[in-house]
Amino acid sequence: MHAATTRAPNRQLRACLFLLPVAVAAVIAACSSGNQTLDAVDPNAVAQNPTFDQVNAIIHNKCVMCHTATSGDGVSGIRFSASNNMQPLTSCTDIVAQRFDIVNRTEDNTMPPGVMPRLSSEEKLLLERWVANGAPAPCNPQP
Amino acid sequence: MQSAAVKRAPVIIALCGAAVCAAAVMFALTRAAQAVPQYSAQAGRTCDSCHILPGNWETPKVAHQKRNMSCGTCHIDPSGGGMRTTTGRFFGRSTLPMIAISPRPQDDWDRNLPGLGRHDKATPYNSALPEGPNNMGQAAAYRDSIHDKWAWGMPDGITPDTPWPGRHAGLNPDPIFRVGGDFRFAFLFGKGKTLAFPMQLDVHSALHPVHHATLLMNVGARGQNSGYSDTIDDSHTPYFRELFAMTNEWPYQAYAKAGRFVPAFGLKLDDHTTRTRREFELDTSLPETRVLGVEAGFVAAAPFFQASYFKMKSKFEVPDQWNVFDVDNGWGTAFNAGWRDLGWSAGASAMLRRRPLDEGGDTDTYALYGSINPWYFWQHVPLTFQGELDTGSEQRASGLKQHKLVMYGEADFMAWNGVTLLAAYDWADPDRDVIDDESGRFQLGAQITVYPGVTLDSRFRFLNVATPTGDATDFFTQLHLWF
Repeated sequence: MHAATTRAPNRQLRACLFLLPVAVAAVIAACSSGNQTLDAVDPNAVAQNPTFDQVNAIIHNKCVMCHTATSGDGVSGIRFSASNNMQPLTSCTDIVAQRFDIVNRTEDNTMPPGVMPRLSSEEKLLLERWVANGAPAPCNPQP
Repeated sequence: MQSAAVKRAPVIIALCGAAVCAAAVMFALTRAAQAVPQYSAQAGRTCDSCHILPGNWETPKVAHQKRNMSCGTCHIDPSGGGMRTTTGRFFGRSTLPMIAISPRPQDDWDRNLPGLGRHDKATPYNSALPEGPNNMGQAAAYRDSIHDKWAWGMPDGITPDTPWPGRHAGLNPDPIFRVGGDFRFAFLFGKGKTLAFPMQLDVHSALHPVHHATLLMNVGARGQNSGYSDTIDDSHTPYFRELFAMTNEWPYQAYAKAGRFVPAFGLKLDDHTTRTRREFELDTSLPETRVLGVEAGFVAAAPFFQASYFKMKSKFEVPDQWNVFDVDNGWGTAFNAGWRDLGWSAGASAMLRRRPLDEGGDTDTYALYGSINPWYFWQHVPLTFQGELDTGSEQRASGLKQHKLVMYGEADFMAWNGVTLLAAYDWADPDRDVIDDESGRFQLGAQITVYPGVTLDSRFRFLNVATPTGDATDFFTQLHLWF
């Protein structure tokens, strides 16, 4: 038995009229985007002098799931790992030593890989500023 | 500089939009009707997807009609997701799987995988399915025929606003106590990496001692894609994902609830990674999206309206796993309204959050969404479309606002019983003023439900980001066990 209770066509028309502005708005809105860097749009979007803790939080949230000291040995349950040359990013010295690579790889969006969430503009800017300031960290005291 | 792929995104979106409009116009001009997020679409086309054959049902008064695709038809939470109602369970047993264990809808008798033929033991495959009670008076006699492994007891009396005995074969239509669960085990294969991790480990229970009163509790894990041991060791495993008291089963399916939940907003998609959820603190997999508040509304046939007021934890902190009163100074409100019929739906949502900058600042979010269900009109076109467009703003640490634009669209084709093919695209520009921060993701996959409670969902996912070097592909598959 089919559920079809036939209705007046004007109700369908109302649905179309609702969907039309959705599609139009999508097209219009998607046709343009910004052309400035976050630094230019809002210089105060992130701290001028980021701390290592702020950097470490980003690394922990976006990188450490793969870049662990135990990568490759399946310690974390049934986790297989990435390539054998995976560099851990679990310690202060790891992060400081690879800071330029971290900035470059996240800036060009090659990391995080696959469809894992990329870093936000704020996170990228924060990493850039931290490196530009000499990468202050407990394991890398400022000169 | 934007990659060609990202520059093409608006064109793709425009084409999709045009296709949706064209389809909408076509349906408007052809025939009347009536849609939906994916499964509700598939249920909406025939009454016997959610009931045994209705026979000669008396038409209830408008206030008691449930002829719509409300989330609350299949889920205890009127906002959708989590524990299923008896109607949702019946759909999962009769319509969704390859092998049905409740009588399969008549229109699906010959929609099995080629070569399998008719084989469900629960389906008589004669001229008609068994009929249930036609009215409340007849329903009482069906109480003795209830045999349900996951639900116990039944409140005294029958009301026109609750499911009746006999309309879902032997399932308990309105139990005093029920349990359920959702368990998802994920596998991710990408260039240079393979991950296996638990995505969801939820156990639901609902206490419903008398009509109009329900206590829902959902306890789950915070799944970590770094693996099983990290998930088990996580400080939020387990935690109250939902815990609220609700008065419901009122005319026009009106309800009010209070406790911890995720506010009703937009399409509550099964895929929590979609940007329409993640960009606006609505990712249902995360404990930090849970708020403490009150929500009231109605989900009638077919208009719906839901409004909530809530308090929440700082955006930068995670609320306590058990203490649902662990909130900070900020507050929020959300509204969700629209029309859900059997062949189409349309809705709009708005959500405002107000909180100090050091708790995450203010956010404003607005959404338009809808769906169309061609399958309702043509039995040989098992298609469903759904889409959402979100815009909004949030405050950066500086106090300045960033403006967002996010879109989602999905098409589903239920090729055979238990086999749904899907194509989905979501796109986000997290800051309309900033260059090179957009990304789009196209998914192509299949959901295969061999037996009730066992679904395999596999997808190829193609990500294109603003810098060409970042484009990537992976293969994601999850085993979803549910009951």
